[in-house]
Amino acid sequence: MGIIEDVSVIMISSLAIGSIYALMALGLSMLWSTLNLINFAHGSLMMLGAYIFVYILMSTNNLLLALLAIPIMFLIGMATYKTVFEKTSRMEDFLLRNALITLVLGAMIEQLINIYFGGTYMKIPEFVSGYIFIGSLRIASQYIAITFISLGLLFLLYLIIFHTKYGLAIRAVGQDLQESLLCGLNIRNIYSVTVGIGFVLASIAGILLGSIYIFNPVSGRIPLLISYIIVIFGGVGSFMGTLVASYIIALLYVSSSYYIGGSWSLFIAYLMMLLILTIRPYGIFGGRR
Amino acid sequence: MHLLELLDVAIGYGVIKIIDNLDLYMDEGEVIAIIGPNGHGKSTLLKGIARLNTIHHGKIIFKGIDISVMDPHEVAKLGIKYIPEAGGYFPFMSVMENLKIGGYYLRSHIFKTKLKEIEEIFPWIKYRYKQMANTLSGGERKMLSIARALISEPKLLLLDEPSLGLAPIAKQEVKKAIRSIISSTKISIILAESELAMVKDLADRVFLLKNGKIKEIEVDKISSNLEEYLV
Repeated sequence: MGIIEDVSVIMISSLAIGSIYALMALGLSMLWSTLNLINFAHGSLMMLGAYIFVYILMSTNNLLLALLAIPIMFLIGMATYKTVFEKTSRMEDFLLRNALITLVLGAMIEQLINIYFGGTYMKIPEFVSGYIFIGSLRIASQYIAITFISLGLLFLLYLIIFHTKYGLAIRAVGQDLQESLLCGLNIRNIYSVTVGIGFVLASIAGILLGSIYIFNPVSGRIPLLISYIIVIFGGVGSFMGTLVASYIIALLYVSSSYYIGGSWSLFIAYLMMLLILTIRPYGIFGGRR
Repeated sequence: MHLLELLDVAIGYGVIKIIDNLDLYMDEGEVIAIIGPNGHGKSTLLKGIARLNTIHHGKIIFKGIDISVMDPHEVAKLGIKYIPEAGGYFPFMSVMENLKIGGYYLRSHIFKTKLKEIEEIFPWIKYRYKQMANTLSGGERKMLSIARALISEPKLLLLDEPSLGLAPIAKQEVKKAIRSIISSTKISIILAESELAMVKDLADRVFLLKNGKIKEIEVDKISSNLEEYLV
């Protein structure tokens, strides 16, 4: 392949992967900035969403019914807040306690999936088959579909956060808890819905990634680390920062995979996280927290 | 029935009591001022009514409801709005977003009506709707915090040191705005303030809060005894 084809392949792949990264990282960022919840279960939640999707799809052979995985994950998120984090968030050392709880929850989810589905690899069938040809370039239709689905969902998320009353309340709570209370906002309700949205974003990312790559119960671990790199790079709580960081990291990841191999691309991503934490710990768009 | 009654109330932070055995009442449309030296419980009292700190004992009755056991957001929804001495606005939101959060529970058409009323009290605000709150001047920020509380149709405003840290011109503007609220609405106000000229000008009744104890003083006698009240 010539240089133009190489660059085109890298750009298209980066756009598709970057959009999925953005979905999963925005979920992580929302929980972090709104609830101060550093969610180490985010990768496992991606897998849980993907497995629930696969389970319904295998049971019913109906793609639309399989999408029930998304509202199910929303309800799981709200229930998790009500039963766990609502109580622990009132405790003095809630930051560390909640982070440890998510670590345990993540391990529990992985184990639960392992018990029910086993550790063998699975894959979600492609939503669309075939290829699209642009000149001599052959692009899998699935990549194009995923890119459009992800971009559509990101736009929807943007509308919710910046153009709805509820999004305004989520941003207010993330900015100042006491001021939000003084305005009469019901913090507990806002928190539970935010956790629900965070779980939904993780599960959608899991379903989309699962339609490109094979996965097993622990496949969410690397995407979790990548999400952290993106959130820290973009700045915690910054929508635009997270979006830009997602595509930069995806481009870096895809191009290094393409030229020097997958193992190096992960190493480079981790190195980048180390550099950001050392040199610019609040990210490219984030303020001091 | 009084609008607000505090019956044998003790308020503090955690296990520490700052105010003890306090009794106070106020009626609808009344403006009362709390004066006293710094650190003697003025802010603690207002935060206690807003349910932001600990009520050790006693009852706070607002329109017949005991609010001493409520959460801060429930008290705010009842119409009690606390405006802190610092803050009272979301710095990384626009002026309009701040007002929208203030009127979060209002229906759209009521919000628009309230916005017109806000524009009458604060004429400058309509030219700054898109401006970020943290880029406003000190006086404008204070007025935004009052406007944010005012748009939610409050019954009682708890104003904590509204003139603190403001330049003389800004103090006059804030005072003018508060006077406009008093004359054009039936909103009751509790004003914790060290600026005695403002207190004398705005308050119907004045209370001295010193060492956690409260006593009513005559408005006319304030100016001659400054040292006694604020030291």
